Amino acid sequence: MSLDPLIGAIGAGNAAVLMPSIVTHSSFTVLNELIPKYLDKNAIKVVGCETRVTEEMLNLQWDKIFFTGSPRIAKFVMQKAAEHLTPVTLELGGKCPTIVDSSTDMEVAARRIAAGKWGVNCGQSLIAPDYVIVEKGFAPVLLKALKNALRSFFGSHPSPENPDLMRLVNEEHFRRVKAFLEDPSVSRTIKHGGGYDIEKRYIEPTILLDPPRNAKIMREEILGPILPIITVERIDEAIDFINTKEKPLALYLFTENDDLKNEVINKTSAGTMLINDTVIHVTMQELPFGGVGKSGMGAHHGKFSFEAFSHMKPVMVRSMAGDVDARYPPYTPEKRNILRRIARFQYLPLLLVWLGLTK
Amino acid sequence: MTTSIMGDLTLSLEDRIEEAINTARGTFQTGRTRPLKWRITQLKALKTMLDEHEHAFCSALYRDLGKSYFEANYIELDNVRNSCDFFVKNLKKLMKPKSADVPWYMKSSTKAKVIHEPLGVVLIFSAWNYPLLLALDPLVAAIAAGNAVVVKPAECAKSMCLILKQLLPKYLDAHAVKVLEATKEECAVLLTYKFDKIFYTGSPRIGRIIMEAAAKHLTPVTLELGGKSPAIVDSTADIFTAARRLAATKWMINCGQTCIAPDYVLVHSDVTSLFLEGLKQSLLSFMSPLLESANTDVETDQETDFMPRIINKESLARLQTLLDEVQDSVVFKLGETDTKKLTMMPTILLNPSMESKIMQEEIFGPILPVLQVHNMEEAINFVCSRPQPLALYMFTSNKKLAKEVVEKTSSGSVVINDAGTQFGLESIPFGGIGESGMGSYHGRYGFDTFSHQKGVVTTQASSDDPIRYPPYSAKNKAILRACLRNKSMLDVILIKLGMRKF
Repeated sequence: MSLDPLIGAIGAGNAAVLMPSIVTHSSFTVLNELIPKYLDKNAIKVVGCETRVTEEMLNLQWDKIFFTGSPRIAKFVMQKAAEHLTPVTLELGGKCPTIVDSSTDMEVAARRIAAGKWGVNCGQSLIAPDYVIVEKGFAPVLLKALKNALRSFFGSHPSPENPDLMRLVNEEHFRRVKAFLEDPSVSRTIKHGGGYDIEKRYIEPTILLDPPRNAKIMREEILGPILPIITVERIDEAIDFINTKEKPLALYLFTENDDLKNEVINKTSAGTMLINDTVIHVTMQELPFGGVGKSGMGAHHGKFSFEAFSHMKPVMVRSMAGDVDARYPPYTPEKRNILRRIARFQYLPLLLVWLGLTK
Repeated sequence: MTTSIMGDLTLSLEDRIEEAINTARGTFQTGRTRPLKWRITQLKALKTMLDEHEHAFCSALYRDLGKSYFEANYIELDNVRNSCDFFVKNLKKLMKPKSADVPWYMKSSTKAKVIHEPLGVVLIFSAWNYPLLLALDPLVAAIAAGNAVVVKPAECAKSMCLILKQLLPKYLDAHAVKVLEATKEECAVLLTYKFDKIFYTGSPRIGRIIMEAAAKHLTPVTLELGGKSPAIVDSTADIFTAARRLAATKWMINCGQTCIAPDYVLVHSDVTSLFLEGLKQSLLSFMSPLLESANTDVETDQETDFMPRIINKESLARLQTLLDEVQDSVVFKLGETDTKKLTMMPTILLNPSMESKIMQEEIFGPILPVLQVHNMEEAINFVCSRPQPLALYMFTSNKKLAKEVVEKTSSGSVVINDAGTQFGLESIPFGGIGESGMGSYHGRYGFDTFSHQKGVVTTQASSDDPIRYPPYSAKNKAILRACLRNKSMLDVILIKLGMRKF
């Protein structure tokens, strides 16, 4: 997430200052050491992202700011950018909903949801499926399929030693995610997992069934390995539920029903929408990757990165020759007639006027 | 009875704002603004409104800014009509989803496209200098993109405010397009509410305030601001034509009160006298009938060319203050300022002091500083040392120099050998950079500005390759990485067969 936008900025011909997150301390150290070694160190700079430094950096004038992170900090970044009229691209998060319709192949859907949630960075991804919505009657089938998927990926007893499972990034985030489960009204809805190891900052893949809709876990972005399943009476209620929340970065829908597909596409809004899969759009360079509303503004990847870091400057070249008197005042009625026709692209009437065949 | 006449006056500011936003949002949520048919109907109705009430709109522009009937149509109404026509013709095509390529290993199972989605409720701030154009032109694009809109007309242009308030609800879907009047102070309250997009035309100072307020809701903004748009005249230019075109754009359109008016001119010292002569001759030829009628006190009617006014006495006083500081650099003035009629005559300065206020702030009036430069490098450096302007005008017959100027300077747009003509061209984006703004509109750029481009990926559930799931064997990891790195199918087959590593 540091290098991807940097590549776009360089591709568009800019100099850049990169502020990688120092939360991921080791990654930061590596970038800090290696970037000046491999890139033009006078054009590309790396600076640590502590709070104090960030604020001071934002006081300076930039030609563009690209920010990936939380909506809360994004507001601050945009407010500071406003002081210099600096345009921003904000890649934020949100609760990416996953709708699972009964017409879908539950085993495939479960595998793809599980891969998107737990196969990638322990759920700590802006586009991880945050929660699932399914019709009440099909929740048991989906739950079973999810458990099967988890077993096939990570074995019956997933542990922090499994190389394909990740840990929470630091203690603060570990505590934040664990706190969701400390709410008794939430913990009693655990249908799978729930175990953790404080020392290793590990929480096992956990599935909830119908936690209270006003619990913290259903109000905030989870960014962790807990998957709530929310049930509805009819699948189209999912649309209303999603629309009570902020527009997410991604929306996932599993269905074979074309009508439902079109309804969800037209009645919900999200950065990107995937039908019958999760997270794979991140590899597609031809699609704009970005949010809408609280999940962000602007996009990047491929040519969208190039545009994000460029100004599209139109250059209009006019000939000095053929300077028609009609263009200039004083505007006689004839001139006015001609100019109005030109302004309205009315070429045939213009020809008639010029030929004196009409007024 | 009282309520129906007094209407707005009985509602508090918050009530008026909430009524506008809630109605617009409620209408948007019904989905009514999305179908192509609704959008086209609105755009056609807007054009009908302009045609059926052309005289009333032109009269409003005459009362507010002294614009002649001709200028009102030619510059304001006709541009809006053209925008409507553009979308009526092209909207179906613009709304069609655009197919996007997918990696080879997904081709058999996956399709991707990008669709343009309306944002929701858009807030448009108009500006007083073109109070019709700058309210309706963005409105046309916002409607074309399927949004509900709240339009805040420029309160300085009182007649236009009134007529927009009366007529827009009659012709457009009054639940989807709301007109909301607000003073400067009331706008601060308006900006505390959430919109899905804010489009503002005006000054950089207010642009900052708007963006800061928008940040609180993470609302994207397009800001069409101003700045000092320079013109550069090289010795190889056709001096007379350059002078004529600059004079026409500067003085004959709204008295210099235009965001893309040439603010000042950098002229090669070899051709300065000729250029100044060209400006004077052009002005005399443009303005002779007006000057004659002004001297004879004959009533001019709105149809004929009447020199537009300065918007109000505050603006006139501001211009006079700017001018007072540089009086000794005045080389030509076509007549005296009339504080009662709010008219200021075309004024040319030669080499005013760089420290003077007129060389620091956007003039936005009929005063043109002409600065002599010894060479074009000096001109380029001068422009680059100042904030990026909305437009840059370069007059030259030297193609290499033109290219150099385009590459070495930065501005919203560049016009070679003319000025102001970029506005009417729908095939190019109209917008600024840095202090002159962010974002753009006109034509499909307007459609993009008021849309969210949403990627939609559809995969088949049936094609589920176990290779993509953990646990990952070493070979599977190699295959997955090769795919992600866009290696060819042959490479992946060889890895599968164990004949290549990754």
